[in-house]
This record gives sequence, C-alpha cells and structure tokens, in this order.
Amino acid sequence: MEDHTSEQLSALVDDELHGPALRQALERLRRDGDMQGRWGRYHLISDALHANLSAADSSSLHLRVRQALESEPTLLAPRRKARLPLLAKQAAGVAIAASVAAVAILAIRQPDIQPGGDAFAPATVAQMARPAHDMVQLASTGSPAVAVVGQSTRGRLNPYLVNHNEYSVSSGMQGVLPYVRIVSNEKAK
Amino acid sequence: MKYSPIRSFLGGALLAALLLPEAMADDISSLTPLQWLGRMSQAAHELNYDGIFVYSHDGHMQTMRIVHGRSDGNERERLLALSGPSREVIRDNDNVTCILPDDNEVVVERTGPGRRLPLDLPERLESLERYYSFTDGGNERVAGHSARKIVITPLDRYRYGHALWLHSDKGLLLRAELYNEDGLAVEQLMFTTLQFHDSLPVAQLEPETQGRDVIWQRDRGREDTPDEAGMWTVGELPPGFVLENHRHHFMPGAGNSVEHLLFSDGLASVSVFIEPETEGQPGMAGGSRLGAVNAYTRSLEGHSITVMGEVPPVTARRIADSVSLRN
Repeated sequence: MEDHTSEQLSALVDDELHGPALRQALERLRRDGDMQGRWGRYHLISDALHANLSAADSSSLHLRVRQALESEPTLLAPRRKARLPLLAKQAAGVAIAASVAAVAILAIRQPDIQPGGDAFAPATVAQMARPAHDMVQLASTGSPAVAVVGQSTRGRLNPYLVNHNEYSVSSGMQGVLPYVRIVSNEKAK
Repeated sequence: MKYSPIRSFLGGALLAALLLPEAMADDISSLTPLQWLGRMSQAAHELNYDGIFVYSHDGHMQTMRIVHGRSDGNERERLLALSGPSREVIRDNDNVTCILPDDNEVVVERTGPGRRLPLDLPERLESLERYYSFTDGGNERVAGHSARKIVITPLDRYRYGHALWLHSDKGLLLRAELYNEDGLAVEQLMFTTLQFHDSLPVAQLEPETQGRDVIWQRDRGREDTPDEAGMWTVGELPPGFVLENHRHHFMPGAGNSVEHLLFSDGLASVSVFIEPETEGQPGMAGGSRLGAVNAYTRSLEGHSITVMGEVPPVTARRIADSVSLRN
C-alpha cells in the first residue's frame, strides 16, 4: 500500500499517469492531506535536485501546494466544454473588468494539446503540477524579497489587477494603456 | 472625479492653448517637458489615428492595433490584439465593449472614472514636480515619425521612472518605457506604424469580430457603488499619494463586495482591495510581482488587504501597512 502510494505519486509528479489511473490519483491527492504533503515534498526533492530552489521558498512550499490545489478544484473535472460556459456566465453579469479576468484565467487553463495522447489527461497533469512547480522555479530567478507569483496566485490576483487597470488614471497613457494591459492579460505559457 | 464648469473651462483653455496649429510650430521647441505631457494627454483623446504597436511586459510581447476617432465631441476607440488570443476592446465615450471570442462572449459595460481626460491636468502636472524630475531627452524617431523624448525620473524610492516619446507635431505618445527600481524596463510600448487622419471611416471603428457567432450581453443588475465612507482608513502614505477613488466592487466568484481604494501621485496609481477572508482559504501574505505590477497582501481583522500598482514593492508594502479599521 505504502509502496503503491509512493509509486503513484512518483508517476504523477513525473507526468506519467493517464486516463483512469490519473483520475484516481488526483482524487486521492485531493482528499488525502498526507499525500498532498508528500506530493509537495516530491516536487521539492525534484526541484532541489535540479537546483531550482531558493532557500526562502522551500519552507512554505507545502502550504502553497495545498493552496494551489484548493484554488483549482475544477481541474478535477477536466471537461473543457462544460466549464467554459459556467465561467463565462459568471463573467457576463458583472463588471467588464471581472469578465476579462475570468477569461484570462480560462486562458491559463486551456489544456496544452499534446500530440498523440489523450488531450485532456496529460493537460490535467500539467496543470496540476504547474502551479507549485512554477512558483518554485520562478521564485528562484526573481529578486529575493519579492516572489514572482505562480499561476494560482496570479489567478487570485487577476480580478484585482483588471480592476486596478480599469480605474487607474495614469495620466498620459490613459485611454490606451489600461486596456492594453487588460487585452494582454496573462495567458497560457 | 466630477465635471465642473470651471474644470471644463480649464480643459477647454488648455486644449486651445495646446492644439493651436501652425502658429504653435515655432514654439514647440521651447515647450517644457510638463507642457509636452499636457499635449500628450490631450492628443490621445482628440486625434484621429490608426496604428500598430508592440507591447512588451513580463517577458511577453504582443502586437496590437489601435484606432481612435473623435467627431462631434464623441470619442470612439478600438483596440485589437493582433497576436495571441483574438481580443478586442471598443470604447464608445463611456461605454466599453469587450469582445473575447475565446468564448464567443461579448460584455458591455460603462467605464469607471479615469477614462476621461483629467481636466485638472495642469495642476496635477505641477504637483508632479515635487516627486519626479522631468528632462527633455531630445529628438528621436519612432515609427517613421519625429518624436520628442521626455525622461521622468523619480526623486524618491516610492515610484518608478518613465521615458516617453511623443510625436513632435501632434504630441501623441509613440513609445513608452517604465523602469523599475533597478532601472530595468519592466513595460514597453512602441508604435511600429501610425497614421493620422482628418476623419476616420466608421467601418474602421467597428469590431472585426461582429460577423462571428457572438452573443451580445449588456451588463445590468448589480452596479459597482461609489462609496465615500468605508469601514477602512489609511494612515501615513508615501509622500504625494492621495485618495482618488473609493468604491465597492462585485467580483466573480466573490459573495462579498470588495472595497477598492485608489491612490495616485498623479502619475503612478496604487489600488487597495479589502475583502473578508473566507473560511478554509488560508490568507495569502507577503509581496508578489506580476510584471510591472507589485502587489502586497496582508491580513487584518479577518480581512485580506491587497495593495497593487506599478510601483516599487516598498510603496505597496507601506500603503498596505497604513490601512486600519475606522474607529
């Protein structure tokens, strides 16, 4: 059992699970706090091995992995068509700013279609793994005091960012720049 | 910010002074950098133009087209992403339509304040001199047009620097760079082609995406409410920053409204967002960076306070620390 968990996690971290095995692993990961902790540590190990880590970020990794998981529950139901209208609907009724933000978040979650594979499954793994991984990797290249945010944090800050742009009155570029910032809003890497 | 007759008059006077045609040509060489900025602000709203520019930030680069028309006092503007996801923003005076064909969805919304030209621009520009130095960077060329470079250097560590290239005759912004505390350009915009017109054919300002299967939705229902007396107050701010706007927003997925305070020193703007922390969502704390934008989040009295703007981390942090609950 113990070995099976380790193996399953390993495979998940390495992006080797597909189909039902993937879904099962993700479902377990979602429910099992220990497994989440371990998942975080596996990534930490992997990043440490690849020298991707800055000292400041390692301690809170576990927490951030959890946070990342909690803030991205829709990824466990990876039927893309089904969740687009939902988010779009949310967006339509509120401010334009907010709607653009929602779309920006959608854009981040667009599955990367990988040749030859099940379009949804690998994308889901990639998306699951990405937030934690990105945070670690990017943070180590950023300035020590300020972390470059990962996708999940970015998702959380996005509505703020769009509202900020909408209302900011930077004098000269006004009229253009706030919208330029919105139109160019973050998309999938 | 409301219109007042005096401000309108000032705005009109400024417009007249700045846009006097040929007669002004000789004087252009003697304009101060601040006068150049006044022209720039006016030009963006008054001229008919059509151009393509490159926008780069946060390691990304994008091409966009902008078409701006002004006739009979009506302003219409179309911004179209030419690279990346096909997105389009159309502004018709205060109405903004955002076309996001990623999902065949169109949202129409009245804009917040700030889309209009600030009519107290001259006073604003003068107060800027306390926090920035303005220097004339001489003539350069952008997109085949002769341009005047204006360099804006912050006098303290609370703001970022800018370099702006303005069309020599018309004052329109042709190129802009924003520099962080290390002097690195964190945001850049540059026109690659630009044409001015006496008037623009209406078709140029129509959305290109209209022929597609898009759903037009008009925003209705919950309006963002202006709010003067919120629960929160700010203490000592970095010098020069004043409260510009205070409102409540409704955001997608958030049950509660979010209190939004906007501060500006006349050039840089900083937003403060305050919302109740939700159960089970551990508060995110500390600083983060999104391209040119720095954000700082902290937790206070069960609320999450997020400060963000195109300012150095120290400014975001200092503003976040100055927020407290009103007694």
